[in-house]
Amino acid sequence: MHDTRASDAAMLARIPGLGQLPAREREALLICAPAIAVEEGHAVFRQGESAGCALLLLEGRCRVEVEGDGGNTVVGHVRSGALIGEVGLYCRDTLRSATVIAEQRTRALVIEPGLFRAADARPAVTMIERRSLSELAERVRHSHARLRRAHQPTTPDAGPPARRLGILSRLLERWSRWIEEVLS
Amino acid sequence: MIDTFAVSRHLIAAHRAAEVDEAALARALDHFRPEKLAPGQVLMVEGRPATTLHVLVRGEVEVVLDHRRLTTLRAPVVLGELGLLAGLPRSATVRALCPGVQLVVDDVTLWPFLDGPSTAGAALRRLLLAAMADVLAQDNEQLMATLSAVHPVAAEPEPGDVPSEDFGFGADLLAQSKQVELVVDEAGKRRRYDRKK
Repeated sequence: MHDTRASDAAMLARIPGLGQLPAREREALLICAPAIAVEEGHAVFRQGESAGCALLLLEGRCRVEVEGDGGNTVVGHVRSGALIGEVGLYCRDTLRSATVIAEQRTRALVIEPGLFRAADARPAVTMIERRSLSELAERVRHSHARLRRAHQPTTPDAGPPARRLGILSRLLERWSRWIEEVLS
Repeated sequence: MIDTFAVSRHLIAAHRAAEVDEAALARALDHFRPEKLAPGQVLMVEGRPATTLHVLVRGEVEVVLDHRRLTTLRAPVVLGELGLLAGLPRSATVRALCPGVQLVVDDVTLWPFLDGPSTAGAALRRLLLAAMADVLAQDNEQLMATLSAVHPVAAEPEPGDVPSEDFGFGADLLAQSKQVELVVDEAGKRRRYDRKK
């Protein structure tokens, strides 16, 4: 048990942001947030389940899948240091948007809403929230851009100048073919 | 005079924010500057530095990009948090559609709050996290609908295509996710195209 705690503390110290905190504050987080281990191949979260907590991955690698009409699609991977499922932590009444499966033996801290009320864990929680602020902002901007691209045709509706250029190039092609035929 | 306690209660409900203390959020909002909005007034301009955070207390705004309206938003709602928190320029222009009221705070006032250990700072942090998480959840739903349409095509990769590594989940892999494009081919089918690594 002591070895596990020491190992968790060492892994926590390697996570950006949390690594800069004094050891006693990381220790407080370990006391307030229970650690879980998920064996390879087992689901960490399941799409559609109620989302009430997040996981801070200490060790391991997970696959993120989305269940659709055509089957499951792998949409990403997460590794140690990542905070996953945080939408359910910050927003009430949300469901998991994806299934997360451990690809290796994975160890994680369970971050539950109750942790926000634990005074001892406050510095670590503040650090997690500060990190989440910039990461979520970037993810939202990225997903907005992705959605816009997804709804934009690759050959955008050609405006008048582009359309005119297209007509001109087709005419030139026909003329050059005609000239070649005449000359031959 | 704006009742910041009522505003905080409405904001918490609108963004489904968890673990946000109403009174603490009201104390944070007391540091914001109230401003009246006239129809057509521009709150933020695409491409400009993001140095302010806005809370629309009353009224409605439109979000415009490339002269095209992306969406309209009604009070109460947090605006301008994405550029400010990501340290990037404004991604769109926001314009008032009717008379309204907003609360504004500049980054110099905001950052010590967000970085600090105060309960007001924590309430504001959690409200912003909830606002963004809410938007992300909505985006994920739309992306999943897109993925469902993409999946049959993505199962047959073409030469040069590589398997996707990320689709926006897991913040540490955000950079990798940028290697994935969703495009619509000439036949009008949506497909996932993974840029050559």
